[in-house]
Amino acid sequence: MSEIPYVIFTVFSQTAVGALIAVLIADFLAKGNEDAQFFETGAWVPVPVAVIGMIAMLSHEARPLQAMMTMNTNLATSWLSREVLALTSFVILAVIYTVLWLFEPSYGSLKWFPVIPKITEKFMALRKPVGILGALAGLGYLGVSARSYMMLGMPAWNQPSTVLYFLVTSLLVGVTAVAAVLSVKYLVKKKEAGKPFTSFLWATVGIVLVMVVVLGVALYSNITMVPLAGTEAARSAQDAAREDMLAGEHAPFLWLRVVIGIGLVLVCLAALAVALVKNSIAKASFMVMLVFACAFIGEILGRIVFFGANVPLGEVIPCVLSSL
Amino acid sequence: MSILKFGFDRDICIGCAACEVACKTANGVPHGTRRRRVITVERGEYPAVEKYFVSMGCMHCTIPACERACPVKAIFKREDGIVLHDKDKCIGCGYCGWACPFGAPQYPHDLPADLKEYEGIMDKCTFCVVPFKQEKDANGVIIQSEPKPSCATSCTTKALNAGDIREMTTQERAARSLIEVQV
Repeated sequence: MSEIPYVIFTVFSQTAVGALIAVLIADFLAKGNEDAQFFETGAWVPVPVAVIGMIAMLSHEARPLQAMMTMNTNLATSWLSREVLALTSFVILAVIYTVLWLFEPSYGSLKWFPVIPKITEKFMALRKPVGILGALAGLGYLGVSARSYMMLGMPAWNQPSTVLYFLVTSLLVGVTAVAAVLSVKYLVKKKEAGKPFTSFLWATVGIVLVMVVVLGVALYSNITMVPLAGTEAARSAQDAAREDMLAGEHAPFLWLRVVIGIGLVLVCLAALAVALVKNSIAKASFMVMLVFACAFIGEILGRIVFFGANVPLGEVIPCVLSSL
Repeated sequence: MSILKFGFDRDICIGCAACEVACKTANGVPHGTRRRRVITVERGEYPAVEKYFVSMGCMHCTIPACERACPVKAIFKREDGIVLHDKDKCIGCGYCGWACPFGAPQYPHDLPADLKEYEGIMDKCTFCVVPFKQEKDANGVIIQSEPKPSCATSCTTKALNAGDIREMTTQERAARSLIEVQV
Protein backbone atom coordinates (compact mmCIF):
# COMPACT_ATOMS: atom_id res chain seq x y z
CA MET A 1 0.00 0.00 0.00
CA SER A 2 1.73 3.12 -1.24
CA GLU A 3 -0.56 5.34 0.82
CA ILE A 4 0.74 4.13 4.21
CA PRO A 5 3.26 7.00 4.72
CA TYR A 6 0.46 9.50 4.02
CA VAL A 7 -1.83 7.66 6.43
CA ILE A 8 0.76 7.71 9.21
CA PHE A 9 1.76 11.31 8.52
CA THR A 10 -1.76 12.73 8.58
CA VAL A 11 -3.14 10.63 11.45
CA PHE A 12 -0.14 11.20 13.73
CA SER A 13 0.37 14.90 13.00
CA GLN A 14 -3.34 15.55 13.55
CA THR A 15 -3.35 13.43 16.70
CA ALA A 16 -0.52 15.60 18.02
CA VAL A 17 -2.74 18.69 17.66
CA GLY A 18 -5.59 17.06 19.59
CA ALA A 19 -3.14 15.80 22.22
CA LEU A 20 -1.81 19.32 22.80
CA ILE A 21 -5.37 20.61 23.16
CA ALA A 22 -6.05 17.83 25.70
CA VAL A 23 -2.94 18.74 27.71
CA LEU A 24 -4.03 22.39 27.63
CA ILE A 25 -7.45 21.40 28.98
CA ALA A 26 -5.68 19.48 31.75
CA ASP A 27 -3.50 22.52 32.39
CA PHE A 28 -6.62 24.60 33.04
CA LEU A 29 -8.24 21.87 35.14
CA ALA A 30 -5.21 21.42 37.45
CA LYS A 31 -5.79 23.32 40.70
CA GLY A 32 -2.42 22.86 42.32
CA ASN A 33 0.97 21.24 41.97
CA GLU A 34 -0.40 17.78 42.88
CA ASP A 35 -2.92 17.86 40.06
CA ALA A 36 -0.36 19.29 37.68
CA GLN A 37 2.10 16.55 38.61
CA PHE A 38 -0.51 13.95 37.68
CA PHE A 39 -1.37 15.64 34.36
CA GLU A 40 2.29 16.24 33.51
CA THR A 41 2.59 12.71 32.10
CA GLY A 42 0.14 13.68 29.35
CA ALA A 43 2.59 16.35 28.16
CA TRP A 44 4.84 13.55 26.89
CA VAL A 45 2.33 12.73 24.14
CA PRO A 46 2.09 15.60 21.54
CA VAL A 47 5.71 16.06 20.44
CA PRO A 48 6.76 12.40 19.96
CA VAL A 49 3.52 11.75 18.07
CA ALA A 50 4.16 14.78 15.82
CA VAL A 51 7.73 13.62 15.21
CA ILE A 52 6.51 10.17 14.10
CA GLY A 53 4.18 11.95 11.66
CA MET A 54 6.97 14.14 10.32
CA ILE A 55 9.28 11.16 9.84
CA ALA A 56 6.50 9.42 7.88
CA MET A 57 6.06 12.56 5.77
CA LEU A 58 9.73 12.73 4.90
CA SER A 59 9.97 8.98 4.30
CA HIS A 60 7.79 9.16 1.20
CA GLU A 61 9.89 11.88 -0.43
CA ALA A 62 12.50 10.80 -2.96
CA ARG A 63 14.97 13.26 -1.40
CA PRO A 64 14.04 13.59 2.29
CA LEU A 65 16.96 15.79 3.40
CA GLN A 66 16.49 18.20 0.51
CA ALA A 67 12.73 18.21 1.25
CA MET A 68 13.35 19.18 4.87
CA MET A 69 15.27 22.28 3.80
CA THR A 70 13.22 23.46 0.82
CA MET A 71 9.60 22.40 1.21
CA ASN A 72 8.30 25.81 2.27
CA THR A 73 9.91 27.65 -0.65
CA ASN A 74 6.70 28.34 -2.56
CA LEU A 75 4.44 29.90 0.07
CA ALA A 76 2.93 32.24 -2.51
CA THR A 77 0.92 29.55 -4.32
CA SER A 78 1.64 26.07 -2.92
CA TRP A 79 -0.68 24.76 -0.20
CA LEU A 80 1.86 22.02 0.52
CA SER A 81 4.48 24.67 1.37
CA ARG A 82 1.93 26.38 3.61
CA GLU A 83 1.08 23.05 5.24
CA VAL A 84 4.75 22.44 6.05
CA LEU A 85 5.10 25.95 7.49
CA ALA A 86 1.93 25.53 9.58
CA LEU A 87 3.09 22.14 10.87
CA THR A 88 6.54 23.50 11.71
CA SER A 89 5.01 26.43 13.62
CA PHE A 90 2.77 24.07 15.56
CA VAL A 91 5.63 21.71 16.41
CA ILE A 92 7.89 24.55 17.61
CA LEU A 93 5.14 25.83 19.94
CA ALA A 94 4.36 22.26 21.06
CA VAL A 95 8.04 21.69 21.91
CA ILE A 96 8.19 24.91 23.98
CA TYR A 97 4.95 23.97 25.77
CA THR A 98 6.24 20.47 26.47
CA VAL A 99 9.56 21.81 27.79
CA LEU A 100 7.66 24.10 30.16
CA TRP A 101 5.79 21.05 31.50
CA LEU A 102 8.60 18.51 31.71
CA PHE A 103 11.24 20.85 33.13
CA GLU A 104 8.91 22.46 35.66
CA PRO A 105 11.19 22.79 38.75
CA SER A 106 8.85 21.31 41.37
CA TYR A 107 7.04 18.45 39.62
CA GLY A 108 8.39 18.06 36.06
CA SER A 109 9.65 14.56 35.14
CA LEU A 110 12.91 16.13 34.02
CA LYS A 111 13.32 18.53 36.96
CA TRP A 112 16.56 16.71 37.87
CA PHE A 113 18.09 17.93 34.61
CA PRO A 114 20.88 20.50 35.10
CA VAL A 115 20.35 24.20 34.29
CA ILE A 116 17.17 23.93 32.16
CA PRO A 117 14.64 23.80 35.07
CA LYS A 118 16.17 27.00 36.44
CA ILE A 119 15.61 28.68 33.11
CA THR A 120 12.08 27.36 32.65
CA GLU A 121 11.17 28.55 36.16
CA LYS A 122 11.36 32.13 34.90
CA PHE A 123 8.94 31.42 32.07
CA MET A 124 6.32 29.28 33.85
CA ALA A 125 3.75 32.10 33.67
CA LEU A 126 3.95 31.78 29.91
CA ARG A 127 3.00 28.10 29.81
CA LYS A 128 -0.72 28.52 29.34
CA PRO A 129 -0.37 31.34 26.74
CA VAL A 130 2.13 29.20 24.83
CA GLY A 131 -0.30 26.27 25.05
CA ILE A 132 -3.14 28.42 23.71
CA LEU A 133 -0.93 29.66 20.87
CA GLY A 134 0.11 26.06 20.14
CA ALA A 135 -3.53 24.93 20.06
CA LEU A 136 -4.43 27.78 17.69
CA ALA A 137 -1.43 27.00 15.48
CA GLY A 138 -2.50 23.35 15.52
CA LEU A 139 -6.06 24.19 14.48
CA GLY A 140 -4.61 26.43 11.78
CA TYR A 141 -2.46 23.54 10.63
CA LEU A 142 -5.56 21.30 10.39
CA GLY A 143 -7.26 23.86 8.15
CA VAL A 144 -4.24 24.41 5.91
CA SER A 145 -3.60 20.68 5.73
CA ALA A 146 -7.20 19.97 4.69
CA ARG A 147 -7.02 22.74 2.09
CA SER A 148 -3.83 21.25 0.67
CA TYR A 149 -5.75 18.06 -0.17
CA MET A 150 -8.83 19.86 -1.50
CA MET A 151 -7.66 20.28 -5.09
CA LEU A 152 -9.38 20.14 -8.46
CA GLY A 153 -7.19 17.22 -9.59
CA MET A 154 -8.58 15.02 -6.80
CA PRO A 155 -12.39 15.50 -6.81
CA ALA A 156 -13.06 12.95 -4.06
CA TRP A 157 -10.98 15.06 -1.65
CA ASN A 158 -12.32 18.37 -2.90
CA GLN A 159 -15.25 18.48 -0.52
CA PRO A 160 -16.09 19.64 3.03
CA SER A 161 -15.69 16.13 4.49
CA THR A 162 -11.90 16.47 4.22
CA VAL A 163 -11.85 19.28 6.81
CA LEU A 164 -14.21 17.36 9.06
CA TYR A 165 -12.18 14.14 8.83
CA PHE A 166 -9.01 15.94 9.85
CA LEU A 167 -10.73 17.69 12.76
CA VAL A 168 -12.22 14.38 13.95
CA THR A 169 -8.88 12.55 13.81
CA SER A 170 -7.26 15.34 15.74
CA LEU A 171 -9.71 15.64 18.61
CA LEU A 172 -11.02 12.06 18.74
CA VAL A 173 -7.63 10.34 18.75
CA GLY A 174 -5.55 13.14 20.27
CA VAL A 175 -7.73 13.74 23.31
CA THR A 176 -8.32 10.03 23.98
CA ALA A 177 -4.57 9.35 23.57
CA VAL A 178 -3.75 11.75 26.42
CA ALA A 179 -6.68 10.42 28.45
CA ALA A 180 -5.44 6.86 27.90
CA VAL A 181 -1.90 7.74 29.02
CA LEU A 182 -3.27 9.45 32.13
CA SER A 183 -5.52 6.44 32.76
CA VAL A 184 -2.52 4.12 32.72
CA LYS A 185 -0.89 6.44 35.25
CA TYR A 186 -4.05 6.41 37.35
CA LEU A 187 -4.14 2.61 37.38
CA VAL A 188 -0.47 2.54 38.48
CA LYS A 189 -0.54 5.46 40.96
CA LYS A 190 -4.12 6.01 42.11
CA LYS A 191 -3.19 8.30 44.98
CA GLU A 192 -1.82 11.02 42.73
CA ALA A 193 -5.10 11.55 40.85
CA GLY A 194 -7.45 14.17 42.18
CA LYS A 195 -10.91 15.35 41.21
CA PRO A 196 -9.63 17.23 38.16
CA PHE A 197 -8.87 13.85 36.56
CA THR A 198 -12.56 12.96 36.78
CA SER A 199 -13.38 16.32 35.21
CA PHE A 200 -10.84 15.59 32.49
CA LEU A 201 -12.51 12.24 31.78
CA TRP A 202 -15.91 13.97 31.54
CA ALA A 203 -14.41 16.49 29.12
CA THR A 204 -13.08 13.54 27.11
CA VAL A 205 -16.57 12.00 27.00
CA GLY A 206 -18.03 15.28 25.72
CA ILE A 207 -15.37 15.78 23.06
CA VAL A 208 -15.59 12.18 21.84
CA LEU A 209 -19.37 12.36 21.61
CA VAL A 210 -19.29 15.56 19.57
CA MET A 211 -16.55 14.16 17.32
CA VAL A 212 -18.48 10.94 16.65
CA VAL A 213 -21.45 13.06 15.53
CA VAL A 214 -19.14 15.15 13.32
CA LEU A 215 -17.65 11.94 11.93
CA GLY A 216 -21.14 10.71 11.04
CA VAL A 217 -21.83 13.97 9.21
CA ALA A 218 -18.45 13.76 7.44
CA LEU A 219 -19.07 10.17 6.33
CA TYR A 220 -22.54 11.04 5.02
CA SER A 221 -21.13 14.06 3.21
CA ASN A 222 -18.28 11.99 1.78
CA ILE A 223 -20.49 9.14 0.59
CA THR A 224 -23.02 11.47 -1.00
CA MET A 225 -20.04 13.40 -2.42
CA VAL A 226 -21.09 17.00 -1.91
CA PRO A 227 -19.40 18.47 -4.98
CA LEU A 228 -17.29 21.60 -4.87
CA ALA A 229 -16.27 21.23 -8.50
CA GLY A 230 -19.34 20.63 -10.60
CA THR A 231 -17.82 19.52 -13.90
CA GLU A 232 -18.84 16.20 -15.47
CA ALA A 233 -15.26 14.95 -15.17
CA ALA A 234 -15.18 15.77 -11.45
CA ARG A 235 -18.50 14.02 -10.90
CA SER A 236 -17.26 10.95 -12.79
CA ALA A 237 -14.15 10.81 -10.62
CA GLN A 238 -16.26 11.19 -7.48
CA ASP A 239 -18.64 8.45 -8.62
CA ALA A 240 -15.72 6.09 -9.28
CA ALA A 241 -14.26 6.88 -5.85
CA ARG A 242 -17.62 6.28 -4.18
CA GLU A 243 -17.99 2.95 -5.96
CA ASP A 244 -14.57 1.87 -4.72
CA MET A 245 -15.42 3.07 -1.21
CA LEU A 246 -18.81 1.38 -0.94
CA ALA A 247 -18.36 -1.80 -2.93
CA GLY A 248 -14.81 -1.99 -4.20
CA GLU A 249 -11.37 -2.79 -2.86
CA HIS A 250 -11.65 -0.32 0.02
CA ALA A 251 -15.21 -1.18 1.11
CA PRO A 252 -14.07 -3.58 3.90
CA PHE A 253 -11.96 -0.78 5.39
CA LEU A 254 -14.90 1.62 5.30
CA TRP A 255 -17.34 -0.75 6.98
CA LEU A 256 -14.74 -1.83 9.56
CA ARG A 257 -14.22 1.84 10.30
CA VAL A 258 -17.93 2.35 10.83
CA VAL A 259 -18.13 -0.68 13.14
CA ILE A 260 -14.92 0.00 15.12
CA GLY A 261 -14.48 3.76 14.78
CA ILE A 262 -18.10 4.67 15.47
CA GLY A 263 -19.99 1.61 16.82
CA LEU A 264 -17.42 0.30 19.30
CA VAL A 265 -16.35 3.81 20.28
CA LEU A 266 -19.96 4.65 21.20
CA VAL A 267 -20.38 1.38 23.17
CA CYS A 268 -17.15 1.99 25.12
CA LEU A 269 -18.07 5.65 25.58
CA ALA A 270 -21.40 4.68 27.11
CA ALA A 271 -19.62 2.28 29.48
CA LEU A 272 -17.15 5.06 30.34
CA ALA A 273 -19.96 7.50 31.14
CA VAL A 274 -21.71 4.91 33.32
CA ALA A 275 -18.44 4.23 35.18
CA LEU A 276 -17.97 7.96 35.76
CA VAL A 277 -21.53 8.35 37.04
CA LYS A 278 -20.86 5.50 39.48
CA ASN A 279 -17.56 7.19 40.39
CA SER A 280 -15.66 4.04 39.43
CA ILE A 281 -12.56 5.77 38.09
CA ALA A 282 -10.56 2.55 37.67
CA LYS A 283 -13.22 1.12 35.38
CA ALA A 284 -13.53 4.45 33.59
CA SER A 285 -9.76 4.50 33.04
CA PHE A 286 -9.93 1.07 31.45
CA MET A 287 -12.81 2.16 29.21
CA VAL A 288 -10.91 5.29 28.09
CA MET A 289 -8.08 3.07 26.88
CA LEU A 290 -10.58 1.03 24.88
CA VAL A 291 -12.13 4.19 23.41
CA PHE A 292 -8.67 5.35 22.35
CA ALA A 293 -7.80 1.97 20.80
CA CYS A 294 -11.06 1.84 18.82
CA ALA A 295 -10.80 5.49 17.75
CA PHE A 296 -7.19 5.06 16.65
CA ILE A 297 -7.91 1.89 14.63
CA GLY A 298 -11.02 3.52 13.16
CA GLU A 299 -9.11 6.60 12.04
CA ILE A 300 -6.28 4.55 10.52
CA LEU A 301 -8.87 2.54 8.56
CA GLY A 302 -10.68 5.72 7.55
CA ARG A 303 -7.49 7.32 6.32
CA ILE A 304 -6.63 4.22 4.26
CA VAL A 305 -10.02 4.67 2.55
CA PHE A 306 -9.40 8.41 2.16
CA PHE A 307 -6.10 7.94 0.34
CA GLY A 308 -6.92 4.65 -1.38
CA ALA A 309 -10.44 5.17 -2.71
CA ASN A 310 -9.58 8.24 -4.69
CA VAL A 311 -9.72 8.59 -8.44
CA PRO A 312 -7.60 11.40 -9.92
CA LEU A 313 -9.24 13.62 -12.49
CA GLY A 314 -6.52 12.59 -14.97
CA GLU A 315 -7.95 9.06 -15.07
CA VAL A 316 -11.43 10.12 -16.08
CA ILE A 317 -10.73 13.13 -18.30
CA PRO A 318 -10.25 10.99 -21.46
CA CYS A 319 -13.56 9.21 -20.78
CA VAL A 320 -15.57 12.42 -20.76
CA LEU A 321 -13.59 14.09 -23.52
CA SER A 322 -16.46 14.00 -25.98
CA SER A 323 -18.56 16.16 -23.71
CA LEU A 324 -15.89 18.66 -22.75
CA MET B 1 5.85 35.63 -29.28
CA SER B 2 4.20 32.33 -30.12
CA ILE B 3 2.39 30.34 -27.45
CA LEU B 4 3.12 26.66 -27.93
CA LYS B 5 0.43 24.06 -27.30
CA PHE B 6 -0.63 20.61 -28.39
CA GLY B 7 -3.79 20.13 -30.40
CA PHE B 8 -5.58 16.79 -30.61
CA ASP B 9 -8.46 15.57 -32.74
CA ARG B 10 -9.85 12.35 -31.35
CA ASP B 11 -12.06 11.82 -34.40
CA ILE B 12 -9.05 10.92 -36.54
CA CYS B 13 -6.78 9.24 -33.98
CA ILE B 14 -6.42 5.53 -34.80
CA GLY B 15 -4.64 4.57 -31.56
CA CYS B 16 -1.42 3.43 -33.24
CA ALA B 17 0.66 4.78 -30.31
CA ALA B 18 3.33 6.09 -32.67
CA CYS B 19 3.34 9.32 -30.61
CA GLU B 20 4.07 7.38 -27.44
CA VAL B 21 6.89 5.39 -29.02
CA ALA B 22 8.41 8.46 -30.69
CA CYS B 23 8.37 10.36 -27.40
CA LYS B 24 10.13 7.57 -25.52
CA THR B 25 12.74 7.14 -28.26
CA ALA B 26 13.47 10.83 -28.77
CA ASN B 27 13.78 11.65 -25.08
CA GLY B 28 15.31 8.44 -23.72
CA VAL B 29 12.33 7.88 -21.43
CA PRO B 30 12.89 4.60 -19.56
CA HIS B 31 10.54 1.64 -19.28
CA GLY B 32 7.59 2.28 -16.94
CA THR B 33 7.45 6.05 -17.49
CA ARG B 34 5.29 7.64 -20.15
CA ARG B 35 5.42 11.32 -20.95
CA ARG B 36 2.65 10.68 -23.46
CA ARG B 37 0.16 7.85 -23.33
CA VAL B 38 -2.57 6.69 -25.66
CA ILE B 39 -5.70 5.77 -23.76
CA THR B 40 -8.45 3.60 -25.21
CA VAL B 41 -11.90 4.66 -24.10
CA GLU B 42 -14.88 2.36 -24.52
CA ARG B 43 -18.25 3.69 -23.44
CA GLY B 44 -21.95 3.31 -23.88
CA GLU B 45 -24.16 0.21 -23.81
CA TYR B 46 -24.87 -2.19 -26.65
CA PRO B 47 -25.87 -1.38 -29.32
CA ALA B 48 -24.98 2.28 -28.77
CA VAL B 49 -21.32 1.77 -28.02
CA GLU B 50 -18.34 3.83 -29.03
CA LYS B 51 -14.61 3.40 -28.86
CA TYR B 52 -12.03 6.10 -29.30
CA PHE B 53 -8.43 6.90 -28.46
CA VAL B 54 -6.97 9.83 -26.61
CA SER B 55 -3.33 10.81 -26.70
CA MET B 56 -2.72 12.28 -23.25
CA GLY B 57 0.30 14.29 -22.19
CA CYS B 58 1.16 17.55 -20.55
CA MET B 59 -1.15 20.28 -21.84
CA HIS B 60 1.37 23.03 -20.98
CA CYS B 61 -1.50 24.86 -19.32
CA THR B 62 -1.79 28.62 -19.39
CA ILE B 63 -1.97 28.59 -15.59
CA PRO B 64 -0.30 25.27 -14.70
CA ALA B 65 -1.76 23.67 -11.57
CA CYS B 66 1.49 21.73 -11.13
CA GLU B 67 3.57 24.92 -11.07
CA ARG B 68 1.33 26.48 -8.45
CA ALA B 69 1.32 23.32 -6.34
CA CYS B 70 5.06 22.58 -6.37
CA PRO B 71 6.40 23.40 -2.89
CA VAL B 72 10.01 23.84 -4.05
CA LYS B 73 9.47 25.87 -7.26
CA ALA B 74 10.91 23.08 -9.37
CA ILE B 75 8.30 23.65 -12.09
CA PHE B 76 8.45 26.78 -14.21
CA LYS B 77 6.96 28.15 -17.41
CA ARG B 78 8.94 29.52 -20.34
CA GLU B 79 7.84 32.63 -22.21
CA ASP B 80 6.65 30.49 -25.12
CA GLY B 81 4.30 28.58 -22.80
CA ILE B 82 6.31 25.39 -22.36
CA VAL B 83 6.11 24.11 -18.77
CA LEU B 84 9.43 22.67 -17.63
CA HIS B 85 10.68 20.99 -14.50
CA ASP B 86 14.08 21.09 -12.79
CA LYS B 87 14.93 17.59 -11.63
CA ASP B 88 17.68 18.85 -9.32
CA LYS B 89 15.20 20.94 -7.33
CA CYS B 90 12.46 18.28 -7.26
CA ILE B 91 12.07 16.38 -3.98
CA GLY B 92 9.64 13.79 -5.35
CA CYS B 93 6.69 14.70 -3.10
CA GLY B 94 4.15 13.84 -5.79
CA TYR B 95 2.01 16.90 -5.10
CA CYS B 96 2.14 18.11 -8.72
CA GLY B 97 0.83 14.70 -9.80
CA TRP B 98 -2.20 15.19 -7.55
CA ALA B 99 -2.73 18.77 -8.69
CA CYS B 100 -2.55 18.09 -12.43
CA PRO B 101 -6.04 17.37 -13.81
CA PHE B 102 -4.53 15.42 -16.71
CA GLY B 103 -2.24 13.08 -14.76
CA ALA B 104 0.76 14.37 -16.70
CA PRO B 105 3.53 14.26 -14.07
CA GLN B 106 5.05 10.79 -13.82
CA TYR B 107 7.11 9.24 -11.03
CA PRO B 108 9.69 6.83 -12.44
CA HIS B 109 10.57 3.77 -10.37
CA ASP B 110 12.84 0.75 -10.93
CA LEU B 111 15.14 2.78 -13.15
CA PRO B 112 18.34 1.36 -14.70
CA ALA B 113 21.62 2.03 -12.90
CA ASP B 114 22.64 5.03 -15.04
CA LEU B 115 19.35 6.81 -14.24
CA LYS B 116 19.10 5.86 -10.55
CA GLU B 117 19.50 9.49 -9.46
CA TYR B 118 16.03 10.17 -10.94
CA GLU B 119 14.29 7.43 -8.93
CA GLY B 120 10.99 8.89 -7.66
CA ILE B 121 11.81 12.31 -9.15
CA MET B 122 9.04 13.73 -11.32
CA ASP B 123 9.26 13.58 -15.09
CA LYS B 124 6.94 15.17 -17.62
CA CYS B 125 6.61 16.23 -21.24
CA THR B 126 8.99 19.06 -22.09
CA PHE B 127 7.80 19.68 -25.67
CA CYS B 128 10.98 17.75 -26.56
CA VAL B 129 13.28 20.53 -25.33
CA VAL B 130 14.75 18.51 -22.42
CA PRO B 131 15.35 14.74 -22.55
CA PHE B 132 14.72 12.43 -19.59
CA LYS B 133 18.36 12.78 -18.51
CA GLN B 134 18.52 16.49 -17.81
CA GLU B 135 21.81 18.36 -18.23
CA LYS B 136 22.84 21.84 -17.15
CA ASP B 137 25.36 24.34 -18.45
CA ALA B 138 28.12 26.00 -16.42
CA ASN B 139 25.61 28.56 -15.06
CA GLY B 140 23.31 25.87 -13.76
CA VAL B 141 20.69 26.48 -16.48
CA ILE B 142 18.97 23.43 -17.98
CA ILE B 143 20.24 22.80 -21.52
CA GLN B 144 17.23 23.05 -23.84
CA SER B 145 16.89 22.29 -27.53
CA GLU B 146 14.43 23.62 -30.13
CA PRO B 147 10.79 22.74 -29.45
CA LYS B 148 9.95 20.10 -32.07
CA PRO B 149 7.74 17.53 -30.36
CA SER B 150 8.44 14.11 -31.83
CA CYS B 151 4.97 12.85 -30.85
CA ALA B 152 3.28 15.36 -33.17
CA THR B 153 5.75 14.97 -36.02
CA SER B 154 5.36 11.18 -35.92
CA CYS B 155 1.55 11.14 -35.74
CA THR B 156 0.41 9.02 -38.68
CA THR B 157 -2.97 10.71 -39.13
CA LYS B 158 -2.10 14.23 -37.95
CA ALA B 159 -4.53 13.83 -35.09
CA LEU B 160 -1.88 15.25 -32.78
CA ASN B 161 -0.42 18.61 -33.65
CA ALA B 162 1.93 21.00 -31.92
CA GLY B 163 2.70 24.64 -32.50
CA ASP B 164 1.48 28.16 -31.93
CA ILE B 165 -2.01 27.96 -30.45
CA ARG B 166 -3.24 30.86 -32.61
CA GLU B 167 -2.16 29.17 -35.82
CA MET B 168 -3.61 25.84 -34.77
CA THR B 169 -6.91 27.42 -33.80
CA THR B 170 -7.13 29.18 -37.18
CA GLN B 171 -6.33 25.93 -39.00
CA GLU B 172 -8.92 24.03 -36.96
CA ARG B 173 -11.58 26.64 -37.64
CA ALA B 174 -10.80 26.49 -41.36
CA ALA B 175 -10.95 22.69 -41.34
CA ARG B 176 -14.24 22.64 -39.43
CA SER B 177 -15.85 25.22 -41.76
CA LEU B 178 -14.72 23.08 -44.70
CA ILE B 179 -16.41 20.03 -43.14
CA GLU B 180 -19.59 22.04 -42.56
CA VAL B 181 -19.57 23.21 -46.20
CA GLN B 182 -19.14 19.62 -47.40
CA VAL B 183 -21.97 18.41 -45.18
